[in-house]
Amino acid sequence: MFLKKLGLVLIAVTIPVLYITSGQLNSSVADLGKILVNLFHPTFELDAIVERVILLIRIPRALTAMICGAGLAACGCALQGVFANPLIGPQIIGVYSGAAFGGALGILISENSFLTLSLAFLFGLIAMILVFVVARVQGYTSRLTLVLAGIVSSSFFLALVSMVKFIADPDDKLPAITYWLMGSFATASYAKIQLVGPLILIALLALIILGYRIDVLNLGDDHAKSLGLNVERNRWSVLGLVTVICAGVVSVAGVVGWVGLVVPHIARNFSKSNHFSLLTVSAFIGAYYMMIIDYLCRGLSSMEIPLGVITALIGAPFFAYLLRRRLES
Amino acid sequence: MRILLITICMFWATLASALEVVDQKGRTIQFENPVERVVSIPIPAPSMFISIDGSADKLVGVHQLTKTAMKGRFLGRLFPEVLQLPSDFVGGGFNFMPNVEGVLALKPDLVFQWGNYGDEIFDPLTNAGLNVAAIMIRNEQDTREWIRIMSTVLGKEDKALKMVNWREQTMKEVKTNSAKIQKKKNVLYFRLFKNNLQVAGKGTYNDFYINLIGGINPAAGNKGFYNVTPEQVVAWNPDIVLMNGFEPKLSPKDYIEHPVFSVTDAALNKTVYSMPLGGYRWDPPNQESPLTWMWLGMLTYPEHHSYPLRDEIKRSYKMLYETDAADSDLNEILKMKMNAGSKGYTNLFK
Repeated sequence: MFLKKLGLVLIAVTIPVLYITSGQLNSSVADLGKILVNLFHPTFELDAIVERVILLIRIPRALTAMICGAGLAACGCALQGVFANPLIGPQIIGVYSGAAFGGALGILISENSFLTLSLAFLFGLIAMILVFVVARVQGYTSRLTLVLAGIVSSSFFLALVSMVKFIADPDDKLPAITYWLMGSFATASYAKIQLVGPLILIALLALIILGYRIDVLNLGDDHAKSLGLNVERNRWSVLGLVTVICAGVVSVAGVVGWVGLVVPHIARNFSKSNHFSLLTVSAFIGAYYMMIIDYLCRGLSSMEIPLGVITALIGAPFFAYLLRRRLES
Repeated sequence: MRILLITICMFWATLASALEVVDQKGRTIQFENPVERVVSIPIPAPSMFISIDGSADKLVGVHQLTKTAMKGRFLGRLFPEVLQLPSDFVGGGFNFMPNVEGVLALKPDLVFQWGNYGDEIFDPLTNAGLNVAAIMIRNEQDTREWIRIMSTVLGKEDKALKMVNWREQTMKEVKTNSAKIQKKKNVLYFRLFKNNLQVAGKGTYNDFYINLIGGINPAAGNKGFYNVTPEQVVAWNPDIVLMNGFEPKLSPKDYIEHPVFSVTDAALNKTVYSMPLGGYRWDPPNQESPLTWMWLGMLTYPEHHSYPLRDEIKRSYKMLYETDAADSDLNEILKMKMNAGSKGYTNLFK
């Protein structure tokens, strides 16, 4: 048991260290150590380029990837619990498309990345409000109408994304929008982490705390009511938190698919059956999963490969494998 | 019998006078009458067309972004009538899908359309019975094809010959000068910089002229335009950096003052330059490309490439647009103000 824990701690430390010390530019673990020491007490002479690459590119990128990965994985896990459906991912509630439209609009009308971020976040929330208005009838929301409202919202905002691409300048805006829609951590910075990171982490923590209520929601509306749970309030609380996380992720990284769908399935192999544990494990695995994916995006070649490409290329066959294994068992 | 002979003679006479041109898809287009009304859907085509014709009189419709690129610039001031031409027959952005009825309403004798973006945007025009010339622009050879097609249509073969000779002679001179270069420098072109970093790899026109002037393109490891990480740029550590002319307000300062790139050689030496914008942007192939070659050669190896660029611009603009470019025009085209802080720029081009 001790060895297993030690192994996990070693993996948890090794992956970020490898992520931060390797890439197109040569750097060593010693460089990282010296940089960290210098942060508190300037002692070592360092290559300015290596120092900046590690401090200004790799570390903020690693942090962003970890926060986003943890958030998305927890969102997928929570939604699969609330809908009692393992095939549900964060895209289903339409927030992704709303945030995607906001981001695309931001790039179209401005060159300010913080406006892009703000609009992505804002339209993610608007998409959720749209789902709320459509799905809630006479104070009650059924799972089915919720999914259908998500499809309505998603389709609506995807049409708006197409419209933005339709009118974007092919010489500068369109490539930027297209690339952004495929997801990337290339523009990660401490400023963005400061803006969105706390929101995602607070929402993630709240989601984990709601884990036991998700267990009850997972039993079905009638059972949950008979156990004294206010189904409407709790379901919308979970959806609200998921919205904050998804909108936050899309605003800093663009549209990143598959993580929320795949990671909870991996997490089920390592966690207890309650959602408190499952959400916690999903968040941890999601953080590392996303960091590895991002490393592949920036390290496989001199090209910066969009995140969405790698998450789908790895996620789709892996998900198919999990699905088959589950069916066979 | 006499009537039959006259009919046959007239038929042959018509055939002999019919204008014929082969487009870049290898399609032959025949015109029974001289081409007087032209619609252009590709954004850069009108500037080439104007340079060959020496006027914009035959243009009856252009893409909205053609006007955006010309507005407030040299060519827009020279041919302000282009800014008033209709554009509503095609969408605003990356949309070259024409509204065929809108194009037909302009009664064009010829429509220029992209030949390498799929049949979906091409066939509706030919299905409507319009004369459509497919054009593509990827390299120097394509540029010369444009010159051939447009000059044939306009009956301006003499002008085409002058343009091609100018390109040929300049290329020869630049090549001769490049052959003397011993120590080659890395020249990196950013096709996009603001939202993401996109560089020009192997096979792009930018790669072609970087090699032509004797430089090395560090991004030539991959083909075409592709996105890179800031880290990759730092690893390449280019000697010269070229900022594209497409993104509005993008300037050398964006690279020089970048938190990461500011420690690279190009930023420290201030060898970062914004690409000029004349009759069209100097980055992609166009009618003014020989000026791009000279400009870049002078910036990269001033000891080997020495040309009277301002005089060359004046001379070539007289040939291309039949106009005298003023010094203020030249300052604007060369972006003297924006590039003032870059190494050697003012001395080389003032």
